[in-house]
Amino acid sequence: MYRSITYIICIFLLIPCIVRSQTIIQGKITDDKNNPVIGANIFIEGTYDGSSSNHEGYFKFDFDGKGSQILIVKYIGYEDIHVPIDVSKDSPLLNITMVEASNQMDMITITAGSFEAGGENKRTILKELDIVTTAGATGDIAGVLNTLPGTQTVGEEGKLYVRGGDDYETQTFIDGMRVINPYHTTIPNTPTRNRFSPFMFKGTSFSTGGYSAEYGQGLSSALILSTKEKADQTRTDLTFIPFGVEAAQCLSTDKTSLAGKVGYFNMQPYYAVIPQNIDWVDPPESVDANLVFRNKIGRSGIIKAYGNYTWSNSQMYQYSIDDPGQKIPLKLDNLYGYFNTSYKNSIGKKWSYLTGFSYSINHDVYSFDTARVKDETSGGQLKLAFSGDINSLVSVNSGMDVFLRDNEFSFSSYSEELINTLSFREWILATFLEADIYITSDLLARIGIRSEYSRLNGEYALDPRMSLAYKLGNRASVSFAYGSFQQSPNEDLLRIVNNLGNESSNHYILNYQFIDKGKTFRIEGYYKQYKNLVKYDPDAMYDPSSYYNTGSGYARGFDIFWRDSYSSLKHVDYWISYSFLDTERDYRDFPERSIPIFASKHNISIAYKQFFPRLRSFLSGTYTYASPRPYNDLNTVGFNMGRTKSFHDLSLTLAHMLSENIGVFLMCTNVFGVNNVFGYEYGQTINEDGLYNRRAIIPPAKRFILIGVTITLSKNGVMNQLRSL
Amino acid sequence: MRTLTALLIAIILNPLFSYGESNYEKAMKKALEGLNQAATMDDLRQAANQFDRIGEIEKDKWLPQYHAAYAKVMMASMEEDLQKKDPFLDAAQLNLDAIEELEHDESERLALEGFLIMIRMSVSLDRGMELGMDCGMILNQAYTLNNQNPRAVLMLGQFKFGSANYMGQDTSEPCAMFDEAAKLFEQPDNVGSEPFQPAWGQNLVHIFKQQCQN
Repeated sequence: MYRSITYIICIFLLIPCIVRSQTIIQGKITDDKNNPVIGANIFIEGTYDGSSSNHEGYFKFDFDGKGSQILIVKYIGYEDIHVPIDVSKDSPLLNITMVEASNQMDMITITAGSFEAGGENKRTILKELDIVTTAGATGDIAGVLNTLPGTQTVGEEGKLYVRGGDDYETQTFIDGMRVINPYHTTIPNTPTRNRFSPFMFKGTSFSTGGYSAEYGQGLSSALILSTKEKADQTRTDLTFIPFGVEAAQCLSTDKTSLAGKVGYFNMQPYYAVIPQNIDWVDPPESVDANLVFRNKIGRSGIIKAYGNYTWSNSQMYQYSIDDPGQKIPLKLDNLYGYFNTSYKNSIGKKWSYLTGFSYSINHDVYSFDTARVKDETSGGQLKLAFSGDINSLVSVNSGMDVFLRDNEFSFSSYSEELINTLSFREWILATFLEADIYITSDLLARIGIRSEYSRLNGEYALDPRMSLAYKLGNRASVSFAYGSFQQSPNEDLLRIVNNLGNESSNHYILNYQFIDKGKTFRIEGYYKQYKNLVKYDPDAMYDPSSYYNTGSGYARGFDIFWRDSYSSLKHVDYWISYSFLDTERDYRDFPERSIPIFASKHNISIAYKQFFPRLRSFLSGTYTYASPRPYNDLNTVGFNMGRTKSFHDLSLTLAHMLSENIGVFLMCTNVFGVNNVFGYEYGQTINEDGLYNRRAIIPPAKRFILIGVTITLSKNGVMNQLRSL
Repeated sequence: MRTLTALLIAIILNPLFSYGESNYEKAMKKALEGLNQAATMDDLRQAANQFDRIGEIEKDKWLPQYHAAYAKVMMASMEEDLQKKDPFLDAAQLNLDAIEELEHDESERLALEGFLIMIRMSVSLDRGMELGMDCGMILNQAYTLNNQNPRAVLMLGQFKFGSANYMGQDTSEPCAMFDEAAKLFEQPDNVGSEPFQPAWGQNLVHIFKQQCQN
């Protein structure tokens, strides 16, 4: 008995030795051109056993096991190889050929109509830093986007004008939600700026057409901004410029961060030194406060909140065109508040959802010596969206949102006696569904539909959107986009006639893009058709019965972009944009189809940046050209037949790091002092020569010159100052 | 008889039990030995691939991904052709990104990520402007999360040395950080109390400190 047990024990003790008989697995790995693949990872599926290919492509290893196994070969940039092998006996020399993964699916992106900026994507056209380092952009998001093709320079506004579209046709979104009043309020014919600091955003997607069904209410363009998820480290920044100070503080821990920024600006001392074309009573003065909160919840949840408060005021004299001796004081007070919060989390590995809420209030008060105009807008959006993968070939993005906008415009005498009030309340309920489908590994289709119901005009609209992207090798792609877009009329029209119908447009875009190691080339052709634009009789502006959705128009053209980022010239990064635009429209008070005043046929931007490491300095220059723009010359026959001179501007920025945490910078626009004219305004009465008096619309000053200092105070004091210039 | 049966069962089951448990440990031990003794690119590649093979199976463990990333960062630092450094660093970054989803030591992950970015910056001065800020933030965060982590201290010290040197400023603070890191490396807590924890960096202290003498 005991003997037999001992015998059994001995057998069992031997089993591992018997089972774990070793076989040799060996082979050679080459690519499709028969070159050895060095460093590939070769292993048996489900085990740690394996090896790497050596500099001649050979590999060899011992394996404990038997029967049929799967040998896996992996190497970055190549397709994985699975080879069934029999490991009962030593393998012969396996010859394995790897194929370059030309079709890594995540590499296909739809580029038609879209520019990616910031973000981690390698295909980004603009980097986050570009917003602050591009001369002439003066740290403004719209400023830097105006150096991209597809935009038109409209110097007296400073807003984004995209492909023959009016400024209201570009909609701004923060974390998926539409922003009402994204620009600061300014007096007429002086350039404005975007309200939001570029540093808040980790990624910017600027669409010049054909954008996703997730977004609506923009006939021409969508500017999609996503706030940062990762917090900056705990630190304090101070900025001093001749007309203001700004302090920023960031507190952060592993999961939570809170960042705040407060600034006070008063143009008085600046205007005292640099003469202005505007007769200021009180130069602009403003207070601006921002608060950002982020908190990670669990492994994948994140809650974000952002608030902005702005107060500004200014007063100037407006001169009569008919009688230049007559001047009227105009005072502008603005109060703005914005709040946005969102919560994002994932459900399982493949799905995620986002809920968001935004709200804003904007109060503008224009006071003349005899009258007062109040323009108050408030509103916001509630949004719910789901996205995820159905399988490896199809992913879906869907959701719904409710948008509310209230506007009240009142006109009263100076003693607050109300003369007239115009107002509207708009509700828009929207749903969207969009799918990305890999038809083949080189061909991606994005098909979407957006439905919108407006309670104000009772219209129900269904907008199909579609994009196709086809890869040509590893570096180039061709994309096509089509989309139908709706937008409720701008508030100045809607408050006169509440139930005006939606304006609409269709986009057709064809794009070719080539990206290779710091070099980007793209060319894009487009055709945009406008329908149902609002028209009215200019002599009966306040008569609702003179308003109709009978306007129409088109815009067509092409854009070319070339960027070489530090690849051909040492320490040099530059890009060149060219846009050709042919557009005409019949809208608003136009008597006939004509070219709108904001459209220039040719726009060119050249942005050049050079870094001087030894001198710890940075030089940036931007040259902008826009061909003549139309203006309505009341002294000639026809509408919008006048043409301005062409526009030229060369702006320079020079930055120098004095020490780790102190930076100084100097920037100047229009270095050569060109006298740019944006258009002409006309008087209302005919003078003794039988003509209308006119006045040129010109920049508030020939040049904008700024010298500033930024100081960073951080516990661990290691900051690269160029970032904050 | 009963004891004998128990013994028998234990003997029979022993290889089966230990296979799952110790195979991971065995493989990690072997791979770490390979990594620690690596002298050539080929040795590092073998180690990196071995860790990737382990990571392929142990999907809930961060250490195989971590060591794979470290091996790839070292390959990038050894590679002399500047144009060829990026692919190694891109591959290492994928490992570091994978770790973020797992239970892990964030100070260690960030310290290695900072090291990775510093090597990326060494490819071209132009990258300093874009990456310098990120790198500083990441290393500060690594240090804030655990100022007793010798790798976080060492890497932050090196980053600060780089910026102070560039600015032509006093380097005594970063040099003191190298000494601080050296001290921390000597502490028993920091020499792998748990198995397979990050342990690299001690040999770099002397190399970094040489900069202070010039």
